[in-house]
Amino acid sequence: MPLNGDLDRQIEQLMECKPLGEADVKILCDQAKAILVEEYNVQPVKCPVTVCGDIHGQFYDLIELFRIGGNAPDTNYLFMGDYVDRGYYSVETVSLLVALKVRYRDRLTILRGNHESRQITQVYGFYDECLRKYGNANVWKYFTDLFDYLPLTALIESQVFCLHGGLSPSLDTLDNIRSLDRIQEVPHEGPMCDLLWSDPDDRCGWGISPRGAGYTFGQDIATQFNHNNGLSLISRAHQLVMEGYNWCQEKNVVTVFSAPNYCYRCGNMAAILEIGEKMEQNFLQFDPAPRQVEPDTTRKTPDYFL
Amino acid sequence: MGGLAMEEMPLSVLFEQARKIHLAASESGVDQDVVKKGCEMFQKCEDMIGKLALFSSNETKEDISTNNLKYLLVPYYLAELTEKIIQEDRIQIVKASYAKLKEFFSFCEAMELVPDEELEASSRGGSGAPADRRALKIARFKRQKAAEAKLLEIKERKERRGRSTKASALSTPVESGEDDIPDDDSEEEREAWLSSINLAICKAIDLLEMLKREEEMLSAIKERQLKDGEGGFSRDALDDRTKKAETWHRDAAARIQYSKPAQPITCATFAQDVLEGRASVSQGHEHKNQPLIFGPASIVGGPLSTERERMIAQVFQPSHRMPTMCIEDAGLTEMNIMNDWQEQTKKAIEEATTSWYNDKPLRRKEEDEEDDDEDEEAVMKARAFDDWKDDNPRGAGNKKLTPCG
Repeated sequence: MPLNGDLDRQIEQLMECKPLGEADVKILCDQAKAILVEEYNVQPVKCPVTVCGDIHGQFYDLIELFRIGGNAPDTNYLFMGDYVDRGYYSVETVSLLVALKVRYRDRLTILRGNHESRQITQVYGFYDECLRKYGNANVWKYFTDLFDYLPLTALIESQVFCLHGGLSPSLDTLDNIRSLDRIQEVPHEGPMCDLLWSDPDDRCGWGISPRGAGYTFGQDIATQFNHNNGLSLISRAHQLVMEGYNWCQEKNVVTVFSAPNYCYRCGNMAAILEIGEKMEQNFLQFDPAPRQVEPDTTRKTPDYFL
Repeated sequence: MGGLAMEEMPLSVLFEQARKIHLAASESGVDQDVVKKGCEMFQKCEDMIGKLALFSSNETKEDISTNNLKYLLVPYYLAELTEKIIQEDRIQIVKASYAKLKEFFSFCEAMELVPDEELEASSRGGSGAPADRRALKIARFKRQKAAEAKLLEIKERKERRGRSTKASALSTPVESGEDDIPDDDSEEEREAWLSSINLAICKAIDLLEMLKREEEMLSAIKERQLKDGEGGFSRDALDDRTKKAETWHRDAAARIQYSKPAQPITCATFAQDVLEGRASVSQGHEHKNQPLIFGPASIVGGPLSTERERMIAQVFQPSHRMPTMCIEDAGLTEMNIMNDWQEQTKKAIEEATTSWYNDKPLRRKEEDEEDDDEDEEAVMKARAFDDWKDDNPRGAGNKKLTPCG
């Protein structure tokens, strides 16, 4: 491919946390769209693969994640959404992931999270960051248009079901999910919204979610869903967990959260889930990237760059 | 009406004239001078009533002569008219009007003119269940409508009779049942004034509530103004705020020359130390909700040297919605929500399972039975799930397998 040279150079630039130019972002998003539109609502994934949760613009922690889990083409990755908002480097983070997707489409799967939406990003930071870094909202528009194409869920070797949020009362089977028309903004309610917003709960049955979107689902629901679809595990992200991962509902469901010290203040660990060639599971926990600055000595010398 | 004559007017004339002003003022609104004049007249009426000692607290409504009944209304009219005076210090007006209404209300109470339910409500001080208050309001509204209908009816009857007496006077000038009419008239007049008083009571109660609320509001504003030092709402304050914002913009533009956003604290243990108060962050990390922004280029002026800075300045115009909390606060908020949620769930589960270990020493036997129940329940559940599994073969929902990428 003639473009790979360019792309490799761009990935290199992004790895140094330097955002791409506006025109480059547009081309990148168009390429990514062409790839993602071919993917399925339940995108099949082969093992071995490393499953990751929320990143939320914590770029240096994403670099740390690659250091812990292995570099992108060498390790296969599956990201379960929420790349943007909150952190200071949403633009760089999502650019890098999309560039990697375009470069190594079979080695990287990126799903949609509830923050990959126009409405949410306008409130939680990605929109503002685009304005700040590019001076206009074009880049935000390119990315949010691209987000509509992201697959909603993935299925590793027909056994481990991966998605951002959780189950939906209107979707009993994977076949139901396959029949959704996903290429649209995340709706306020309904099956597509639920997949990106729901949470597991210790109470049985369906419950009203305190988030105001999606539902909570009990162990009975998850057990039935897993049986019905021949699954061994539901792997999801969406919730801050202090250890980086958290088993629940008698190991029917696991939460993986990959933003260490979330929002630079929560003091939580991050984790990724390695699924090996024989489908064996292994969690890797990690702390934030080594301190980029000594917090107490930040201001001794003026910094002459922005 | 001559202003000069007020001193010499008899009470009945003075009252009638003042009442006309009150009527005009409530129907269409009149000049402030007229309103003030009306107030003066009613005050004069009050004086005269006091001097003549028309009413005594030993009387009830039955003891008051029809002629004097209407003078009960003087404080009510005065209150209503006073409320219409426009002046700088509204709170004084509200207080004066309120006091007069109270006076009217308590006198009516002494005369046994106020319905019991209203008395009860007023002794409770306006509190009470919303449903009760609503019922009271509806009852009051009905009474008001009834009084208004009654007044209208009497007025119409009077007019009809006026016409017929006139007609009969024309046809038969000699005999015109004259002995009947005055008696009927006075009875009717009494009825009319009583209806007016009832109506006034209804309106007075509503007005009392309104004035009370207005006074609270005005006092609150006054208090705040005192605290803020004079102009809480003044132009000065707004100007001050604008000036502050502009300074902020200018400072930000100047700051951008030699600073960059604080680096995030990325070490979890350090963050934990900060959280628990063992360490403090450098000033750069205390965001204090002051993002680095540039106002309109016109404010910032010269210092914008690069294209990039100019563009940024264009984005962050006053219409741009700025963040209301810094990212660290947002993260903490989210963590607290998660913690609360987890705790609640834990509590709910504990409550659901409490009985068997808390009650152990007391009711071992029952608990055993309960245990059996629980076992049975579990068995039933397992059975139901097995049945369900029979109906839903494993993997049935995942038939449309798609090729691996």
